[in-house]
Amino acid sequence: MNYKELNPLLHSPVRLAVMSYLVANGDTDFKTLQKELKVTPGNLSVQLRKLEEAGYIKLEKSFRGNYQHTNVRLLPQGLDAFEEYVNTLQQYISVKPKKSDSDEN
Amino acid sequence: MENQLSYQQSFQIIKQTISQARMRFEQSGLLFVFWGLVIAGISFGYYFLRKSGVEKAYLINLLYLVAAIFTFVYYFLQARKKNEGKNFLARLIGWMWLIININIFVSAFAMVNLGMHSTFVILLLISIGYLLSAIIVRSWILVIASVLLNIGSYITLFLSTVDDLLIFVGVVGLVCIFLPGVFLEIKRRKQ
Repeated sequence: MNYKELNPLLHSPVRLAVMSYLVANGDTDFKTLQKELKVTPGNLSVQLRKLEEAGYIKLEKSFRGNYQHTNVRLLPQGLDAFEEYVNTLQQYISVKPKKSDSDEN
Repeated sequence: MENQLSYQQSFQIIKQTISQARMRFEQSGLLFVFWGLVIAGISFGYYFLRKSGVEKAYLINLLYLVAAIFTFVYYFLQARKKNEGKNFLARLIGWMWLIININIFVSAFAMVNLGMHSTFVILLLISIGYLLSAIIVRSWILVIASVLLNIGSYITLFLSTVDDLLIFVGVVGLVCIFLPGVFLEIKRRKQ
C-alpha cells in the first residue's frame, strides 16, 4: 500500500487545532482562538501567519474602539487541505495488520 | 459510564463536521432569492388580479407547482454535478424538503377542497423544514428568518380576509426568504 504524506503544515499541534476549531465552529477571532486553544499570543500569531501564507485562512484586521480586532476566517482551500489530512490519517489507521505482524506481537 | 467511540465513529463525526463546513461555504442564497420572489410575486399578483376582477385569478397558484418542479430539476442536476450523493447531510436535507413539499401539495389540495385556508399549514411546514435546514448548516441568519416565518404562520390564523392573507404572505416571502437569500449570496460571493 502506498501512503500519502500527511500535510506537514497541518501536522503541527497548534495549526491543526486552529484548523479543527475553524472547521467545527466557523469564523472566529484571535482572542477566542487564544482562549480556546490556550496558547500564547506570540505563538498563535506565528501559526496563523503560516496558515494565511498557505492560503488556508484569511486574517481580517480592524479596530473596535481603540483595540485591534483580528477576525480569522477559514478559506475553501483550507477546508480542502483539512479534509485531505483527515482522509490520509484515516487511510493510515484503517490498514489492518498482516497476520504475520500480529503473530510476532 | 464513559462513552468511548471507535476510530470509525470518530472519523464519521469529523467527516460530518467537514460536510457541515463545506455546506456553509457552498450555501447559495439563490434558492431563497428565487422562492422569496416566487411567493411574493404570486401573493401580490393574486391580490391585484382579484382586485381587478379577473376571473379564476386563483389559477396563478399553479405557478407554485411550476416553481417547485423547476427547483427539483435544477437542484437534482446540480447535486449530480457536485456529486452530493455522497454527502449525508446534503442527502438528508434533500429528502426532508421532498417530504415537506409533497405534504404541502397534498394538504393544500385537500384543504382547498374542504373550503379551508391552507396558508397556515403551508407556512408552518415550510418554517419547520427551513429551521431544521438552518440548524444543520448552522446559519444563524436562516435560523432567525425561519423562526420569524414560524411565528408568521401562526399570525395567519388571525387574518380573516383573503386579501389580508395574500398581502401578509407576500411580505413574509420578502422578509423571511428573499432578504436572507440576498444576505447569503452576498456573503458567498465575498468568500
